[in-house]
Amino acid sequence: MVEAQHTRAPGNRLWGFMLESPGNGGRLAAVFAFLTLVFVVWSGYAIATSVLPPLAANRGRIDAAISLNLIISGVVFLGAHLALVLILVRRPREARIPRENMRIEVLWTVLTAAVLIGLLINSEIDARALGSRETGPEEPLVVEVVAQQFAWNFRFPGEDGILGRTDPKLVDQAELNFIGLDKRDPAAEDDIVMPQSLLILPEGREVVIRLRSMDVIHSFFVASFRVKRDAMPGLATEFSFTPTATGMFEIACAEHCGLGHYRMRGAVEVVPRGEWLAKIKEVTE
Amino acid sequence: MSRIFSLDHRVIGLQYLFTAMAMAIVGGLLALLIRIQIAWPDHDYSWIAVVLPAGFDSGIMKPEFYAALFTMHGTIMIFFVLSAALIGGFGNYLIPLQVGARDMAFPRLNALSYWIYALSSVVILASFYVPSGPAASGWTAYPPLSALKAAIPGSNLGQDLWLVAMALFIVSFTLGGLNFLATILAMRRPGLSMLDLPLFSWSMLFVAILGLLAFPSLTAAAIMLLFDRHAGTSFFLPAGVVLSGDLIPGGGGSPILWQHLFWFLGHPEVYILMLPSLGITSDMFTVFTGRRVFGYKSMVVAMALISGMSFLVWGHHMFVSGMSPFLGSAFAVTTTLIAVPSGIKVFNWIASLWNRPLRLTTPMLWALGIFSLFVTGGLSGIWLGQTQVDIQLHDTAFVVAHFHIIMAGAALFGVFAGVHYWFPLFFGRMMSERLGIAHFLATFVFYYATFFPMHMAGLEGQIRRVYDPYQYEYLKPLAAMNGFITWAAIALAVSQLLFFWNFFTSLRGGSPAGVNPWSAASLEWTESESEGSPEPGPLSAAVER
Repeated sequence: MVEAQHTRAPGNRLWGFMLESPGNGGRLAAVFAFLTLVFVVWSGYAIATSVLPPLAANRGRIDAAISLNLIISGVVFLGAHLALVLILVRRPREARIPRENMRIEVLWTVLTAAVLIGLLINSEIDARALGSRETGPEEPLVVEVVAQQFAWNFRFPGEDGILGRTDPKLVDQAELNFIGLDKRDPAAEDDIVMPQSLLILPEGREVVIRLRSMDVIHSFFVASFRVKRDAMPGLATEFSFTPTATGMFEIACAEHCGLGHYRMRGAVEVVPRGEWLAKIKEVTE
Repeated sequence: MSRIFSLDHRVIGLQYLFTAMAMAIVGGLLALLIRIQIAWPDHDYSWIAVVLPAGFDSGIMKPEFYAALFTMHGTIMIFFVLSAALIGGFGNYLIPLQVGARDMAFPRLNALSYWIYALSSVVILASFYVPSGPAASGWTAYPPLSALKAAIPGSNLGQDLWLVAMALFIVSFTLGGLNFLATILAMRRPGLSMLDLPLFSWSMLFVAILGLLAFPSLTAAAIMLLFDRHAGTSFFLPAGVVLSGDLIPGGGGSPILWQHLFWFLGHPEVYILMLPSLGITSDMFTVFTGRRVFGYKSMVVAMALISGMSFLVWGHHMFVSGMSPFLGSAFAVTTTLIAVPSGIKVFNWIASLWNRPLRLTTPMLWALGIFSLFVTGGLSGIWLGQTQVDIQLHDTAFVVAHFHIIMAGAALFGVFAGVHYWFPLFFGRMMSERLGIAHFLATFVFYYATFFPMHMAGLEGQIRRVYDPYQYEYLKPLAAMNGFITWAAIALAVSQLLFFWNFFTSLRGGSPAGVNPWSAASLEWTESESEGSPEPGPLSAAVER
């Protein structure tokens, strides 16, 4: 044991007690095992008791998937770390060596794969459900969301249901025309342009967000709605959800978009359906 | 001169290692600045402003400086510290010894690769001193933010230097990768089969292949971005971009193209950092249980599968980018299934340790730490690989927790394991076990104390890369947790002083190691024995004097 020479140097009081028997690690193993246990208990408790922001849209599937993952990974996490603790505290003096066993290797590989495939199927079912529209008789409410450094622009198509033409050449910040709305287009006449960074939605009605960006990449994130989607310049994407609770919710930009990224904050106010139109008129006039 | 511009793979390996250590100090200090800003954003930091006047405005950190901090922290740590130490450092020093070759296949190319790396380090550090500041578009450098000078102050000369440094770095690692591949495949001592190699050498083989196939994608992207910035092309710029009221000419390109090109490199790069640590862990288990790691061949197969699959998962970084949901599903499958070979490794490790007498030396402790990190970080990876879960967690602190535990943590622990384990080979002396154990235990505790709570912050919706999270009402309750994380990070940083103290005092004062102090069976230790005298690394002679 050449390595022990160095560790048995005199004056080894502080940590020396762990090194008394370098052959098997002595009390060091116990200390490491104890720290591992403390970590497992602390982290398990902390993550199991942490809560997502209160759910306020029809996307509870995401919460369920997170719970499912928490349980499955909790079991594996616990199992692997308990194995580590046992390995540390048991340490036999003589090895009892298992033979290389192909069957066991195949078994645990297949088991892992089965659990993962289960998760994948669940994920695919959820993704399809989250990506599809509601099938009610009611038309969804269309909102165009246009991100820019460092604000959110919201526009409803108005009664005609058509969003008026926009042209980046027509952007005029002094005129508050941030998205370059072409006012000569007849379809643009009844478009409702909201004050920047404020969106008002009716409770219980499906919303289709048409998302794009004027400049760099941003990301539209409302934690309580379980909604996140990048706003790509040059690419308009769509997704839908239904707010299920009234109140004020914060919109965060989730993609680094410049020095004002941290304050690219917006608000969604969800109001009862009956009050929605009046509320929209109130803030746009 | 010959000692500085040496062609000896051992000197070159140590040059990589020392350069990486210096860069680690820079990257670590940047991380501390990030953490104190997240925890206490309105604080007056005049005392730091004395050293870094450009980053502060009357004691308050500037937002653009904060963006530069996380950009440079990520870039420096991933490329200039972890890649350089594990691959440049250990790879160069150990591959020829482990395969029984006299040196690398191409010693001159090897020296060149180090000096190009050194140059790229200088370029990336120099970018701190340009007037508009260093690059600030994140280590991922997504255009248009990184393409348009007006998008963020760091998108001026700083971004150009970043791109040049990356291109140089890639050239360096391409040369290194070619060398590794040639040496491992063609220069093995006669009679030494591939299946006799330590798993570290196997990991280096896969790393070399990954690097050679993945890096060119970023080289191309970096050059295209330089063209977009200076030659009027629009590879990554769509038409109709309006930046602060001004219409940007050009267009027709796609910012999402950059993401594909970047992550085609970026994700294999994660495994480039992971594989050496996995190899080192397996080898430590072999040495300190006194028996070859359980399922050696399946370990090789698992590494091959992980390497192959790592090319097919890059799209999981783009689940919320608005790309086709069919693509999302496909990438979810590949991403999640990469956990199968990873699981094989974990089970084999457990079987390797079960019912065996362990020698709990410092390198063994680090290897057990990697086991823990690999499990913890791997599990959160499965979460993020499912598209619906990723919607909520994408770009939150949960992702920061995930990759710091699995990629950064496992790689960093691998560096510590390797340095402690091979120190006697490098310098002919032992590092102190006492300090090594103290350093390990402190790092293990504070590493988890720093990064595990970030999972919770992410679940509660805390987004990444924000200069002041408390602009958001719903993030205000997280202030206490962020304070805790920052104190843990400070403790983690202070713990690293134990390592530096141990390293530098052991260079002169460590007890003489003798031949093969760990009783290892791999060739790098027997090499010295066969020559009749313990022949420590060439630098130890200089240290003696």
